[in-house]
Amino acid sequence: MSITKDVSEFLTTTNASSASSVAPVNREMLRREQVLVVERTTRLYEYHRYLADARAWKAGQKGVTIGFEREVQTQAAAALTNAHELATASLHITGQVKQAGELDRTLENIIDGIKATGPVRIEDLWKQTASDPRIRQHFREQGVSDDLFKNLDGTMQKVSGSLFLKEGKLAAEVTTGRGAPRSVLFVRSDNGPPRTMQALFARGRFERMAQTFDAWSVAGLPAVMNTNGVELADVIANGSIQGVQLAARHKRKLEDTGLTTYAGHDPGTIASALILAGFLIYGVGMALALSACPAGSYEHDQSVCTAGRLMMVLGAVVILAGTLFIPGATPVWTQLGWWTLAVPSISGAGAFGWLIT
Amino acid sequence: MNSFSLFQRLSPAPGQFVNVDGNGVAPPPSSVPAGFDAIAEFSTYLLQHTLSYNLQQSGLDSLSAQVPYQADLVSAQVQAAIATHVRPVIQARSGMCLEVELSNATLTNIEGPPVPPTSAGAATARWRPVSNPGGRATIQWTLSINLFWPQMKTVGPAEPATNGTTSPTGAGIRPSGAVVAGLGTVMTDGSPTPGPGLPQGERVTLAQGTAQMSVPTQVMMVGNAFTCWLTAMFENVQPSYAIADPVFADFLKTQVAQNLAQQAISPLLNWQSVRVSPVVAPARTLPGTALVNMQLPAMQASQVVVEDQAGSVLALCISFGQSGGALGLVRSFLAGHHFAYYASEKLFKPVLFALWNANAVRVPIVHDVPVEMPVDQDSNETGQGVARVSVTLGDNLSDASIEASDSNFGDPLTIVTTQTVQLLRLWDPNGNEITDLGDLAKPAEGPIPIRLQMFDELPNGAQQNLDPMVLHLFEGLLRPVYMPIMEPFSVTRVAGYTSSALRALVVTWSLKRQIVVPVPTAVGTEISAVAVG
Repeated sequence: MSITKDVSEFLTTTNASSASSVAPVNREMLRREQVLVVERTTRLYEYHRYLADARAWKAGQKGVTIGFEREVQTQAAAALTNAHELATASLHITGQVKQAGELDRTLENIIDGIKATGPVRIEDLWKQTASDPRIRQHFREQGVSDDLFKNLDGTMQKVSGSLFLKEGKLAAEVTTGRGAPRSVLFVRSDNGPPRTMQALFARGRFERMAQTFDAWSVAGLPAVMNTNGVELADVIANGSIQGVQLAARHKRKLEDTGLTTYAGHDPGTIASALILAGFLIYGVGMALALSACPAGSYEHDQSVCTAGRLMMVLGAVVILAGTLFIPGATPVWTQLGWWTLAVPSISGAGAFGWLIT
Repeated sequence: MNSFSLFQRLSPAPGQFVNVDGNGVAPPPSSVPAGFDAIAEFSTYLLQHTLSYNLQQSGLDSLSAQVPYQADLVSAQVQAAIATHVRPVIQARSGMCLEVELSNATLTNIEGPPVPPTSAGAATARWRPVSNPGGRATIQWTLSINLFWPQMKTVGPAEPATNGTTSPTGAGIRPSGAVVAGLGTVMTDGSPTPGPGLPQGERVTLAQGTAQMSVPTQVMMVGNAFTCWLTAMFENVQPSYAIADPVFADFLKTQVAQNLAQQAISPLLNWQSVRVSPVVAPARTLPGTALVNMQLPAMQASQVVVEDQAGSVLALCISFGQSGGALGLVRSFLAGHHFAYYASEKLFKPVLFALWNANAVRVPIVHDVPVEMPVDQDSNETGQGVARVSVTLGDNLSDASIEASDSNFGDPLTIVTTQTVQLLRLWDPNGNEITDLGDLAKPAEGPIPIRLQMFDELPNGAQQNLDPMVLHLFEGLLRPVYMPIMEPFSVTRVAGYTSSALRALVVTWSLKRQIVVPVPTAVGTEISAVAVG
């Protein structure tokens, strides 16, 4: 495999995980979910392109028919469904690999690499990854067309930042050019006896969140994240919630106020594009990592394994960049994650009109 | 025509665009605000109900004046007409009076002041001054000319004499009601008191007609209480009378009849104004200090009357601070209901903040919750334990907004407060209590978002058990949103929707209609009302 020198030095300083320490995963299910991730991302990129064309066309008309507006709303409803399915698939994948310990191993792998090479620029990482023909081939094998990859590359040009170590943990600083850079510290999954109440209630929150996501709407889920120590799974969960929420907001705006004709450079559009790009890179990276990482597997290739894990982290950082720059209603960041269960008698939905009838 | 005017949401969420009676079409959300911060709309039926309610509360729903009947007060034709209704022997009964009665006030028409045209391209037409004069309400009374025999009452020896005579022994019979002192003059005690209502006694109606009043209306407002309403100004309003019967039409022109009519209506004219609309009170009964703390700019209110399929609709349009509202853009969004209320985030957010603070639950709520934890200190194996937690909700909200829904449910109203959580007890997955909690017992505080589906029913089979204290909190929080009026009307199911795009909510409901069922009795006829939902 031909990896450029900078990244190759990074990749070769890692240790493979022993096969016996890897909990089992349902590879066929993961493969199907990853195909779904790529497929839904492709549909959403197509929708964004359609939306831009629709806006431009409407701007050029003296008036449009009700049928046109209804068609745009139908497309938006389909986009929301696709966003939901993309997020659900990403949560399923993440839940499996989380239980298998792969997310923690990913962090360890990247930390080892940064210890050897020093901080890495995100834009450099992407440039080298995108220009590597083997990685490009892998993207193609995962169903990412050249056209889609071009869109992805375009979105990634908006992201800059770095990966570095802080207190022995992996840290990322990221910016999209709007506002001040934001930092996040990645932590491993909690193990052992909880030492604080926050830690006690944080256990199992990802699984509870994924379950609620499946059964209910995301409007019932707040963002649960502590940027002073966030698990990779939390980033994926929050990206799922925020991504679907953005699509829902967009659909509702179309329904209540119609299609606006200004060009789509508003922050919401940029945030959506970043979250989509992040999920795509994350999903493809995970497919690469899962095929190449287990020692003893015939596909094992340490450099490819690490490349896959790098892409997982890169994808997570890009998702984070998208969620941190969402305009309008700010997600409620809570460090505690008690919301589903701390006081069950005040959560949930229900009509309250009966209070006065 | 607005290209969105025929829109409905493609996947209408339960509770949204729902017409309880199925009589109306909801307009698209974007056409509702017209630049105002809040709009309250009332159907003619609700205005009628309010007018009747307020007249009744003031004792002005039935107005009358009597004069003892003397044949020479009336023309021969009237005497002849009386004879056809009442036999001479009945006429000879003492106390027979001629009476003019006004009852059954009905709002037949309402007009708003002229609306300045909204010029094309002008997104913010100037709004009317707060007093917004120029509106009128047409109120029609049923005019009855009656023969009246007041009910006789027995008084005890110690009862002070008022209007009547008492026997020297202190016991006797006296007529109730006003006492005549002179021809054509009815004496009252002279002060502008609420009408005494219809005097009790027997009546025979000689003729019926109408008394029509064209009454100026004005928006009244108590700015620092955030309340407004439409009032009808009766001072100096003279009715025009009409009776089909030519004999009594002539009688109405006589001095006797005119004096009686004027006396009948004087309590209403003295009362001066009666509310035609309910009092719109977005913050309802919040105390003055809470209202001040809301720090809303000065409230302005104006009226406009619009039309929909059901008839005329009164809209009270409210702005805080400089108004960007255009009265000419206001449309009916009653959608077949009696009442509709649009409130933007600019209004409902500070109101919810104040209501939460006024109703905050300051007592901890204790619950047992499942937690994932190791089965023992040295194990990686985890299971489900139980934690008993005490949760205290914050006194204040930090946010209140409407978020877009990604499901078929409506956009939830999200309020954010703080919760202080303390672990009281902990059991491991094997059921053993962990007695030494250490740092686990330290209370921690963090935000908690609470999402409220304002208009959606729970899914089939789903249950919601609210802590009684929390239920009380929500009732105090949401009642003014669902029912932003002061009058205690009984209403049907509440409908409406929330819009994250418009950052606003719309509430609609209808009055529970009453069916009036006449019930025959031994003397005359009594009316009883049966309320139906």
